[in-house]
Amino acid sequence: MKFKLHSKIKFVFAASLISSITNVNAENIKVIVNADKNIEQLAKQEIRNLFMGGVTDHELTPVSLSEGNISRKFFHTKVIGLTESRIQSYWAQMRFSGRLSEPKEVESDSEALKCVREKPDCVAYVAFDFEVPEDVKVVYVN
Amino acid sequence: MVDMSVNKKLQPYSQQMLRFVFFIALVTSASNIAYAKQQQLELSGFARLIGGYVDDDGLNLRGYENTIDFDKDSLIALRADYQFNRQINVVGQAIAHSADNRESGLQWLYLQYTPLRNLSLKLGKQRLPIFAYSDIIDVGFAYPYITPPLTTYTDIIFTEFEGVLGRYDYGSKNYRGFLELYGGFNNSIVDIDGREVEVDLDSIFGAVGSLSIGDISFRVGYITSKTTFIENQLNGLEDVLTTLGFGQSARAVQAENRFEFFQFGFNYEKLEYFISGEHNEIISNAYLVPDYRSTYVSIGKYDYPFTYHFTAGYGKTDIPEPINELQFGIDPVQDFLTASFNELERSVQIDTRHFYTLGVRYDYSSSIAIKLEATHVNDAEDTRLFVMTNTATQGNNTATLYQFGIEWVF
Repeated sequence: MKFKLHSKIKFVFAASLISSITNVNAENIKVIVNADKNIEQLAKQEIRNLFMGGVTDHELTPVSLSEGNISRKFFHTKVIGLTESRIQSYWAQMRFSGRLSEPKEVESDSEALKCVREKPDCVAYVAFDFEVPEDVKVVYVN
Repeated sequence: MVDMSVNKKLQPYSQQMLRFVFFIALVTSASNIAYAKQQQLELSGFARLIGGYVDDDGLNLRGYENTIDFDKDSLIALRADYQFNRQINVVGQAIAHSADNRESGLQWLYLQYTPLRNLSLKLGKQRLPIFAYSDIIDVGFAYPYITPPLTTYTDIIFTEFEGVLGRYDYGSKNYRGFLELYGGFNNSIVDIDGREVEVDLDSIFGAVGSLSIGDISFRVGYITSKTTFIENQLNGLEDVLTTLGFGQSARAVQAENRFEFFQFGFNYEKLEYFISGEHNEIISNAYLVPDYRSTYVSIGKYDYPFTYHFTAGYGKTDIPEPINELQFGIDPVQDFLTASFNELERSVQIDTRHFYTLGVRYDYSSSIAIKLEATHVNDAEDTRLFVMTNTATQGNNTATLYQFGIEWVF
């Protein structure tokens, strides 16, 4: 009986750990670039600069996931540091002042990956557990 | 009530510039036939439906009175961006205002040349980027307020210029920013207390610098311009005073003057809250347009889809030293000149104004926001109309403006 109780506790603990890890993965994103690009790592601030329309030391063109995509929400809150509504008002400000244009949007992780594979200057974010091939490098994880 | 409205009329040389922009666009288009197959026209726009009323009968604040009014700040605008090739595009923006004192029609038309990813040039009619929100003041969706900080943004006369603006973006691993330099001119017909005054801004030169590090960003701006007031009564009085040897008084009403604008702003923003503010100074050598400074600080709390915000600020004009050169009782001519001079002097603003704005924004969707706001204004006892505003509270020194708004971008 004692053995069974311990087994149950272990099972519940393991299940909760797996669930927790799964949730972490589901809420995480990774930033990818073409493997031909001479970049091994990007800093959070650098990624923020790129996706807010700024320039950095690297010539990269950002591609964003479209509104409603869960990875977009996590990317904006955890990396950019702004809510979806602030992102929308920021780009309204940039667009109608004629200052900057927002990143091109794609519908899915697969389309973001396609852009990175086909265009050497493309930088995109995808879900953490989205598998990427060898011709693509992961340069940031959050 | 002293009514002051802005009516910008297109001058002949403005039309020439617009024609020039069209011509360049046409030539560029013709020389890029291969790329022309991929030409892209992007249409977008924005609209505001703003209602408001003042809590006290008999008061008028920014045109709002004691009845609910939707025709003071409501507007709709359409923007077209035509991409000729990777380096050249033309942007035009037309706007329709509900307010009588705001001109509807073509607001912008400029050609943009982007030779490098971090360098661009704009040529044509465009927004004058005086303050942080100046170039998007009509796009309410882009900021949390309904009425942007009152003492800085209310009824700025000069919102556009015609000329060239160069922008350079810079950045690295830990920072980013931009530098803008611009030059041009602006010609407006300004209705001051029923008198039409042509105000020409020649030799406008301006610069804007921005730096963002982490969650904080700074903005500094500077503009200088030669300004000429063209109005029969004013110009005639200057001539007569000069001829009769009243040099000090003549200089006080001189048509040609120089203005300088200084701006400093900051914005600290986290996922949950923001703090932002601006300090602005207008330095003028015109007696009739005294120096002016304004400051405000806003704090806000993001609780998606709601944004709660509070702003406190003030605006103050410097009291010019009185000129006592002209006196009554000497002779009939001087009596007439003294009366005329005093009449002009009465339009000089001596104003210290404090305001507090409390508001909430609800983001209904990614393109529609609904706002509620109250702005309480407290004027100094000797308030008179400031030349840049029509926000006189007429005798009673306090008023509260309640507003409701729907902001839309499309």
